Amino acid sequence: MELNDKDLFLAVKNDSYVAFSQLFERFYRRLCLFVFRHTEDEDASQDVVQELFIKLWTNRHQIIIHDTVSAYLFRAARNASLNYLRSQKNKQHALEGMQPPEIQTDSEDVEFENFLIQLRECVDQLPERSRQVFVMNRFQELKLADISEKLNVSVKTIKNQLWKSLQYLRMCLQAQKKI
Amino acid sequence: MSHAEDPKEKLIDHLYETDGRSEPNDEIAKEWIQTSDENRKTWQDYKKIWQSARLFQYFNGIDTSTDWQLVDRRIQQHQRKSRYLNHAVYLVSGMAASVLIMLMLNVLRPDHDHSVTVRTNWGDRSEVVLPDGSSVKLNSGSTLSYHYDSNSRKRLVKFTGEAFFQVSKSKDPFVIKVMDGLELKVLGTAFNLQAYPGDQFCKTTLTEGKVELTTAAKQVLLLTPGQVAAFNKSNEQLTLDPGNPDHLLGWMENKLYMDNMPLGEVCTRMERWYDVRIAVDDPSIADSIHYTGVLSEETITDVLDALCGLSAIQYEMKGNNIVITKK
Repeated sequence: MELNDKDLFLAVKNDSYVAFSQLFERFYRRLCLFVFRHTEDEDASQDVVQELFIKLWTNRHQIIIHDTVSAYLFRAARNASLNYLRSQKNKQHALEGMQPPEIQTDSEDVEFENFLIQLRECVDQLPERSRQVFVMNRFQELKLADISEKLNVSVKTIKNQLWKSLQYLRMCLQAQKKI
Repeated sequence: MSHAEDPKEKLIDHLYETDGRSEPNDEIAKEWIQTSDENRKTWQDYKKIWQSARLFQYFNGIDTSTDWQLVDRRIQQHQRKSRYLNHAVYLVSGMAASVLIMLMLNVLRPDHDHSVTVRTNWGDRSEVVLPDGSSVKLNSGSTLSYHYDSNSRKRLVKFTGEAFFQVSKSKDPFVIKVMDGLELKVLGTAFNLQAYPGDQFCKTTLTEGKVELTTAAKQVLLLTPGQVAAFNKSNEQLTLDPGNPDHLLGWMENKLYMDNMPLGEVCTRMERWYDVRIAVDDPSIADSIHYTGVLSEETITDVLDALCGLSAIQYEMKGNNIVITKK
């Protein structure tokens, strides 16, 4: 049942829609993250990747993959991101001075995913109060003033806790050789 | 040092305001960064951690199954637009829709050129009556397009999926183009056609009348009632299948007959019937575990419970996704 990427893609070429949905499931989130790192736009990233998969299905008979399926998909996602950024620039919507990060290869992308997973584990190990502040600000995107009100501590204390969290997280990531 | 000049606070302010995408202009903050190589490295790492935390949140918030539905819908729309622009297209789901289709199709004159396409979603089944009076019971995930060509006086059908056809008697041949060059020609007859794109074999089970099968290489096989023809897609060979023909008709009574059927194939069938995704964690068990018997359960969990009772496997279900592991 669990086909490798190559066989899954061959099944897609043979018109298997089930295989196509499995390929989607396997790569969708990773590709969204990859595109998001370039476009910095949540909705646009998901649109770009959805478009990529729709094209993949429509053109499945013409597509020939020479290297790995993963390398092919990330390359396609990279091109789609660049096209998107170009079109945004043409529309004069691109933020001035915003530099898209350097384009990574898919192996760097896997590394980055591992980094994120490790970061999550390190966040879980933070002392309770620091973790709370960090999660509220970074994960739930609450404003410092709102956190200060919710936890009934000063903004200064919150900033101190964020600094301490960064210190701790860096140590934790260093210990795992992830930074 | 007064708190307003605390470089740490300045740096946090900078991260907070710019999401760590630039270097600070503030003198106190700059000074701290430039104090030592260690501070410079620390600052780079803090920026990465700060930004990455937001990326992680984004990554976690992506709902693959919701977004899959968006993609699925757009692909179906696209296929309708491009392929059947001038055709009537019906998505059959549930009884009400199929009754409607029978009515609509019966209005069409059988001896005029026109096309009609019917499709069932995964997990859905339905029955339709074609303009020529033939009735078709569609299993899930099937697409049928019917076209009457008044020049050649032929009833032309393109089909993928699984269906039981009861073809109305007429002097106009009823020709089904299946896939990989396989064609079925019938006059008045009843038969089951199993032709899913992902399967190795395409199977035709004849219950009455006559069916003539032809491959791209012009291999011809004439079926008589009670026989099953198996078309192997990898070598495009047609053979008579020794399996029990009744077992291939079981789907119409919500039954799955398993004759030494590997777990992997049982899973494929379940995916189609119940519109779920099943992953077998250990690929070796997909082929090594075989079942013989009949499944006639109502829900997917009933089926899985039954399978778990028969062999040393267990399953976990999250939404439409099921993972099967060794016990």
